[in-house]
Amino acid sequence: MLDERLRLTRRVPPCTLVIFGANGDLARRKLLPALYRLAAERRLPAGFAVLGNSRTPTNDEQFRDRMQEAVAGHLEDADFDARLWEEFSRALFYLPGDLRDASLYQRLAARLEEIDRTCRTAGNILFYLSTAPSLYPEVVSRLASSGLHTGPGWRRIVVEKPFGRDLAEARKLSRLLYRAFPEEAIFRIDHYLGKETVQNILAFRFANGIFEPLWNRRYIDHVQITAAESIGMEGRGAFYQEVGALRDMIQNHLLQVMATVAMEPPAAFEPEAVRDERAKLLRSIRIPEEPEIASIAVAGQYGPARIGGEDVPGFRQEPGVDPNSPTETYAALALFVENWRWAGVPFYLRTGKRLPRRFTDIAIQFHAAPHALFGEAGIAEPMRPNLLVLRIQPEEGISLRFLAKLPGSGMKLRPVLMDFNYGASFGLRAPTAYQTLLLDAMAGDPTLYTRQDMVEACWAVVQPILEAWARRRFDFPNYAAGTWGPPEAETLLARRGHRWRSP
Amino acid sequence: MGEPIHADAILAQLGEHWRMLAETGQTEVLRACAMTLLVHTEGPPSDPDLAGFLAAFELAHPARAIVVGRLEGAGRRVTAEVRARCRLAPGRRTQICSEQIELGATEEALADLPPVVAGLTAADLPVVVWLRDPAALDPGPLAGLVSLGDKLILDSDALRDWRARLRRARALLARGAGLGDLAWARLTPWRSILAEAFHHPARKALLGAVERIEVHHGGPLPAGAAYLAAWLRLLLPACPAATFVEVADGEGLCSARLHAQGLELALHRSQPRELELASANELLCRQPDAPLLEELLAEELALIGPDPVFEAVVEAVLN
Repeated sequence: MLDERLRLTRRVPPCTLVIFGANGDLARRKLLPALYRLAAERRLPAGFAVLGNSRTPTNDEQFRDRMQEAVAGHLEDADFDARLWEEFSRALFYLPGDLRDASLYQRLAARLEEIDRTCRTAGNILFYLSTAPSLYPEVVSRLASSGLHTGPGWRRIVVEKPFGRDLAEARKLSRLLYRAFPEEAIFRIDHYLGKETVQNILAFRFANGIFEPLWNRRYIDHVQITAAESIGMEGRGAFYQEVGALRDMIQNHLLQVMATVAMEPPAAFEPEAVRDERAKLLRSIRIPEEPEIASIAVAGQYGPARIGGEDVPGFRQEPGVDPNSPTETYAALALFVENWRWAGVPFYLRTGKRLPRRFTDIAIQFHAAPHALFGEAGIAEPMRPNLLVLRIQPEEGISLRFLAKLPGSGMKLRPVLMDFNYGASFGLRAPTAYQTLLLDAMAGDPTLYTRQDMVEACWAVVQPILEAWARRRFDFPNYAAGTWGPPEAETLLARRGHRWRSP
Repeated sequence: MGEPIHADAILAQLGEHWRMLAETGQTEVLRACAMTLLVHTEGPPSDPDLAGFLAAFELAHPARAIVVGRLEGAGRRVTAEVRARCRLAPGRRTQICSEQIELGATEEALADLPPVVAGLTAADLPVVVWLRDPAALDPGPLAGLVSLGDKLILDSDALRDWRARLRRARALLARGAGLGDLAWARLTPWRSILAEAFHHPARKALLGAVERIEVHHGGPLPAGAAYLAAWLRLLLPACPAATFVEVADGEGLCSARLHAQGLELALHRSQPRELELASANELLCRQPDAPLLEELLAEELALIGPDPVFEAVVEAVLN
């Protein structure tokens, strides 16, 4: 009741965060830096602790030292404050042990009780699965059998993607999780949904009156969603060749972004209302059928190149990758949403490794003006339709392209951009996706987390493509590192009279 | 071997540059950009003359300029520099700035540059490729630059093998991209004076009666002369193709003569920067000629994408 009198939008209760896989890449690069920043912004609850676990035999002090190094090395746009770290690190603890060892969970229970007493975490525990997915079943079963899944406070579990390798595996994982935790306690993380600019899509669409009336097939010609990476495998080749671009990026991140762009307005900004609309949209995506897959999906794999004075290996030459690997490092899809709002509007999704530049954005291309008033006699350039670009990274912001008259005599037109830049407008550094999502999980707010029905809907869309690609022999590599992907990706759009925008 | 260069790092450097400008400047900074102007030059990318030209040119045509040039020396070496050019907006306390990225490579490393350039173009705005050095049209390391453009601009008048280069340029252009030629832009005063001449009521009727066209030039046939002849031929389909006459003491396109039922219209350059149209020794009009480089470029930039008239002329010239 008293909360209502506070200016805070919500209260984050005390808790202990248990990170399984605390020495892993994710914990070091993302989770601990995010927690440190939350501490710096005084957004963590007063009673808060982190208990890290991995097989490495080490103690609290050594763990703190290792995490200090990780946090100092991975803070983006912020300086490391040694005094703050000193304070924050007092709440960091470590428990070594093999997740397959039953006795670990007894020790874990004892340690959690101790931490609860000293740090006053109110018996609340948030488990974070930051381990190899193959260990998920083991951990969840052991948490249940040791009784750690229930207790005096609340129990929640954060699960990192991949949520299975296909639809069947996703369902299997879900059944396993449900044996220990109810749906409302399961937080399936898709860090794209935690990005400020992805959240801002909702604000942009539903807090402004002028865009939503245009947000439909009548005015929008097509949508392009791109997540381009300029880097290659960076030592993750062995992992990546088991996954590929379609599973790694499109099945989860890009489909979730697409759902955010295309969903209907929720009745209220409440977790289930927002997630219901996202889920509904995902279920409305037409599931491709075998005969059309060649015309709506393109796979690519990068070959070696020399870029900017550096020899760049092809995917098959990356360490840990099979020299004949058929895994795709590029995927582009043309998807269609079967509902009243979007019928006939292509949603083009593409992602790739070793593209010329790193960026993620959503481009909404509107129909051209119905009458080419200025298009005759070569006085105008080819009509460039209006384009609304929601930039997710880097240089987060929004731009609108429209045609303007060139100064001077004659009616010559030129596309210009009206630009909103997050940094320039607000000056503040936006929280990282993991900051947002960790805090949401502690607060019990699942709005930005995916739900099992959404996970299954995403798998249902890509499953036929995965199966078709598994049967096909591709002539890989089919694009050179440092280019925008295979030529077939251009054909994918050209078939419908479109072309990829120049990012 | 120098340090490798990456598009992401160059853009981050550029972003930092803007942040610093905004923080340290006394006035508001406005980042102006209406296109990417990709310049391939025969010399080093940091050529001060070119930088001066671009600085003046961008006053009216703000752009992200990417200058690609050659570095002296052996071995594989690439370099990247970023800079911003600012000026105070007239009557306002706002600085208008545009940006320049200079990419250099030794002969051996030229092929390393196109993938970097591909990551540096300004999003969703036209990309204009200006080939000061036509070597990018040759099969070789820089051919990838041409296909990045929505418009390619070259200067055929400066090329001996201009027909082959034009063919190659057309083959390299991306789908929907336009070709521009400063040699064609140089003809604008010529075309305009001729068009004006036939607007005169006394000569209007003669337009369909032109029987013979002569185009006079000095030295090997320049592209401009061929373009003029082709343009006239397209306008006057009933007239036989123009005759080219090489004059001993001339240089480039010298004059054009149109004969129609006893009337002779002669258009020739009277001064280095002046055109005269005469008929039977009577001066009909005089007009400035030889536009400056910035005027020629500005004319080409006014039309991004294909120019149907020029395309028809090129088609006629090449076939």
